[in-house]
Formats: sequence, structure tokens, C-alpha cells
Amino acid sequence: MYKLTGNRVFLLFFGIVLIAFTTQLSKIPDGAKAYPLFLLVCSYVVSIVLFIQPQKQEEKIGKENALRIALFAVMIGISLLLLTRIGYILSTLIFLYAGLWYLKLKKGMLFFVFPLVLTLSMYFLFTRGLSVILPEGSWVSLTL
Amino acid sequence: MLSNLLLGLQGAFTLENLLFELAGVVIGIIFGALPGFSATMGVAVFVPFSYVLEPGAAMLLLSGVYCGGVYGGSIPAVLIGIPGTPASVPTSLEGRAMVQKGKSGEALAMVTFASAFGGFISSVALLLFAPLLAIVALKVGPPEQMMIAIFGLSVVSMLSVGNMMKGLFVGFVTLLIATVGQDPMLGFPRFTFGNFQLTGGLETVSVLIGLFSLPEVFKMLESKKENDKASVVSKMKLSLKDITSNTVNLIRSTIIGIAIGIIPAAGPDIASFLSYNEAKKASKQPEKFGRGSTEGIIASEAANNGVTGGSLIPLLTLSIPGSAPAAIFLGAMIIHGLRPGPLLFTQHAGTVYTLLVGFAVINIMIFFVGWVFCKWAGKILVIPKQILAVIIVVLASVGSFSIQQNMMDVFTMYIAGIIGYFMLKYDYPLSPVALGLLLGPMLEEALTLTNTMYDNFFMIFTRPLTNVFVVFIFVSLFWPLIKKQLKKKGGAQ
Repeated sequence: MYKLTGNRVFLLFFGIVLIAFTTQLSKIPDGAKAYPLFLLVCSYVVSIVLFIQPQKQEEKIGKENALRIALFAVMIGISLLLLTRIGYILSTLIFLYAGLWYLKLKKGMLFFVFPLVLTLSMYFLFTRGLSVILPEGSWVSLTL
Repeated sequence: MLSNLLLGLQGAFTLENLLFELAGVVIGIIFGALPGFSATMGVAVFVPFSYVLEPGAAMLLLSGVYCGGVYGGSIPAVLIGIPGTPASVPTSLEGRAMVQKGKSGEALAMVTFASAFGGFISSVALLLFAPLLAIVALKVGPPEQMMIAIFGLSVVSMLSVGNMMKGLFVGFVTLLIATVGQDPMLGFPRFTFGNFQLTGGLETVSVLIGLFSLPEVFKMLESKKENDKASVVSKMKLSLKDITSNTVNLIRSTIIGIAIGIIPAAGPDIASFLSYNEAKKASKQPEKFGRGSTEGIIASEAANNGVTGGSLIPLLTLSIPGSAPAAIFLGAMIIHGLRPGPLLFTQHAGTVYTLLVGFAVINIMIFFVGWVFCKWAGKILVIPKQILAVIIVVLASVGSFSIQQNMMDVFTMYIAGIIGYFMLKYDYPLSPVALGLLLGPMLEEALTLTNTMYDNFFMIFTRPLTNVFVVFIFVSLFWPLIKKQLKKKGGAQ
């Protein structure tokens, strides 16, 4: 049997993606199917070759590091989900304070002032300078 | 040509555009100099900022970020001894030796001068050769476009030296993902999974922002170690003798840089090592190389920056992005309605010549801005990485939202970033993603049109230009072998 390395798990993830694409093929008319079908077949072939070939030694990052990165990625995800719920200003401020606390930035002037400066400067740059309407929030709305 | 040049001069020297050029250079140098950041990330993150700008101003801003980023990468190579990119390795070798002799200012002065010189001459080459190549590109029809797209995609093999299968995997899967949305000829929705937001396909720039920014943030978190201390910058000085005694070296290295830049994906690292090697062979004092040789720094930096202008020549005329920053640049051009090719030089002459002239102005600016920046670099390089990490996350999320003011793009960026991190971990190249997403739709459209043009597909080989591109495709497929030989030659010294 093949040892389940990180690379093989990564390939299995893409295997699922390819299967999901395959299930959609029947919904595509013949005239628009040939090109993606060719690519799908090539993707399957190359991923199978990569799966069965001998695996290279993988760089280890350690459980502690992996957990730190995973939690930070989750924090980013939550802040993005909150963007449309509590708006850009609040979600960015919460992310910045939580993120800097989590990444252990020394608590000083920089810790408290930097998130405010970054959030507001980006807000005014986008809304006033670039005419982009940033998310305002459906639960709480804070606009300036 | 002369009237277009005048148009370009007028465009590049308006106060507004000069400010965008300056802003781009400053941002680019900061992105290039900060550990973990890169020119590619800078261009990716700043594409959304360019949306509201006029196309000319937008291209100048991004060019400034690109050129400034390439130059900026050499500053930590000297001051910290960590080359930001493989292209800065020779500079790091010589620069660190000079720092140990207390000559950090002289080393940075050389880096700044050679970078500006190489970049400026490459922009002159861009100005002269791009319009000439555009005349050839006028003869391009669907069969040639198809071959150009295949040639661009064959660059995947160049970008995947050492892991060809992984490069192919990324290439095929990305081409497949590029088919999400409506098919180009009949307009049928494909792979939308019933989600109407996917009918328009995935937003390419969002994918690229995520791919080239978030993985670097996660990599930063892998180590708890604080930033390395930067050396103190001694007095920056540059004598006339330094310049006159290195004239031949400067010109030779710049030419190497431009030539390597024109070859898709050969990249600044090859140019830097190759010209360093040539400078050593031609030097009257080769024993000084590795011990703080200014000749070595000049050779590496002039070639490294010479690549920037060279890499835009095939991009503007044939839509072939040879490198990751060039691919993102192409994405930005398409968003601004500037489709590279022969018509670009006639339909958008004002914008293109503004870019070509502005590219030269940007490289002149690099000298002055770089000179000032180097004095402050010691302080900027020690910005806590926690701050850098959260800045990138905020820039990436707000930037991807601003593309269409759509949360779908933000989540696309986020997912691309997470996948990109695992791609880096398991040694999958990222650049083919940019090539696949940009060239995939072009390939499918050209393929379909070619099929309708000819009953017998093999008739396309009666067209001379198609055959020229077939030769290019074969050369690029065998490029990994050539590159290996070139590296061996450069590394042996």
C-alpha cells in the first residue's frame, strides 16, 4: 500500500475536486465539452502518476507551528465571514487586535494605535479615494 | 513612431503620472526589501488599487512596483545577508564581504547605480524593440494565437525545472479551472454547480492575490524567530572612477539581462548568475570575486534589473507572460481593456507609449529613491513580522473585494491562498497557475476558431508563422535541459 504522505493527501483533495468536475460533464452540451474533457483526462493521468511515484522527503513544520498557522487561517476566515455581518471597520479592527495578540506583538503604543491607523487609512483610501463601497454589515453597521 | 514617442513623453511626464510612478517605485522598493515580501506579491496586491486609475496611470503604478520590487530585493541581501530571491545571491556574496569591511554604503551605492542603469537601458530596449515585434504580430491569426497560447503554456516546463510532473499537474488543473463559467463560443455554463455567481468564472486577479500573498504570511508564521538585525549603513558614495572602470561590465551585464528577459521564464536568477560569471571571466582581478568585488555586484544587479524591460517585450506584443509578475501585469492590462498584441500599439498608442517612456522614468527614479531609501533601510527592515503579516491579510482581502465589490472574490482569494500554501509546502510551482488562468480562455477560443477555419487541421502548418511558434514550443520544452547547463556553468565559478 502507499504511505499517506502530505503530498498524497493534497492529491486526494484534488482527486475529489476532479470527481466533482466529472459529475458536471453530463450537464454540458457536446459542443462545449471536448476541451474540458481533454483537460480532465490529462489531470487524472498526471495526478495518478504523481500519487503512485516515490515521494520526496517532506519538510516538517512541527505540530506547534502547524496549529499556529491553522488557527491564524481560521481567524482570517472568520474575519472574512464577519465582513458582511458587522462591516469592514469592526471586522478589520477585531481581526487586527486579535491577530496581533495571537502573534504575540508586544503590547505598547504600536499594538493599540496601529490597528486603528491601518483600518481607518484603508477605509478612507478605498471609500473616498477609490470610490469602493466597503461592506457595511447586516447585524451592526458602522460607517464614517 | 516619433509622434507616438511624443505622446508617450506627454503622458509619462504629467504631474499625476509622475506621482504614480514615484508611488509605485517607493511601494515596490519596500515590498522588495521586506523579508518575506516580493515584487510578485507587491504587483498582485496593488492590482486592485489600479482599477479606478486611467489605464496609463495604472500601468505606470504597477511598473513602478515591479521594477522597485526587483531592485529592493537586493537591499536585505547586502544588509542582512539574506538574498530575497535567487537573483540576489551573487549580490549577497559580494555585499556581505563589503559590509564586513565597513563598506555597506559603497555596496548599496553600487547596487543602486547598477540596478538603475540596467533597468534604464532595458526600458530603452523595450521602447525600440516592442513596436518592431508588434509589426510581426500583425500577421497573427487564430492558428498562430493558438500556438502562442501553447507556447506560453509550455513555459510551465521552464518554470518547473526539477518537478516537471508537478508543473504539468498545476498547468492542467488550472486550465480546467479556467473553463469554469460560460464556454467562449456557445455561452453554455460549465462547472458552475448550480451557483449563478460562478457563471462569470473565477476572478483571475483574486486567485493571484491569494496565491502570491497569503502563503507568504503563513510561511512567516512557521518560525517564531524575530527578524534578523540589519547592518548599519555607512556613508553612501559613488565615484566617477567606479563608473568609468566598470562601463564594459555594466553594458555587457545589461545586454545579458535584456536577452534573458526576452526568453520567457528564463528569469533574473539565470541572468544574474550568468553575467556574474562573465564578469569574473573578464575581470583583471578575478581573485577579488567573493571577497567584496564591486564588479560582481554591478554584473549581478545590472543583469537582474535588465530583465524587467526585456520581459515586457514578448508580453506587450505576443501576450506571453514569462514570469509571475509579468503574468499578473497581463491580468491587470486585460482588466483595463488593454489586450496585448499588435493592435495595442495602434488602438492604444497613447497608453502604451506612456508606459514605455514611463518605464524609463521609473528606472531613473529608482536611483534617487533607492539612494534615499538605503539610508533608512536599517530601520525599515526591522518592522515586526506580526505587523507585516496582518497588513498583507488586510490588503489582500480589501483588494480582492474591491475588484467587483463581491464577497465571492474575497473567498476565492482566501481559498487560493490556503491551496497556495500547501502547493509551496509540497513543491508545486505557483507561476503556472497565473499562466493557465490567463492563457486558457485564449487557447480555447483560438482552437475553436481554427477548427472552423480549416477542414483539415494540419493545414495550419502551411502558415509560416505557425511553424515559427512550433519551433519556439519545442525550444521551450527542452529549456529545462538548457537551463541546467547554464546554471552549472554559472554555479561552477
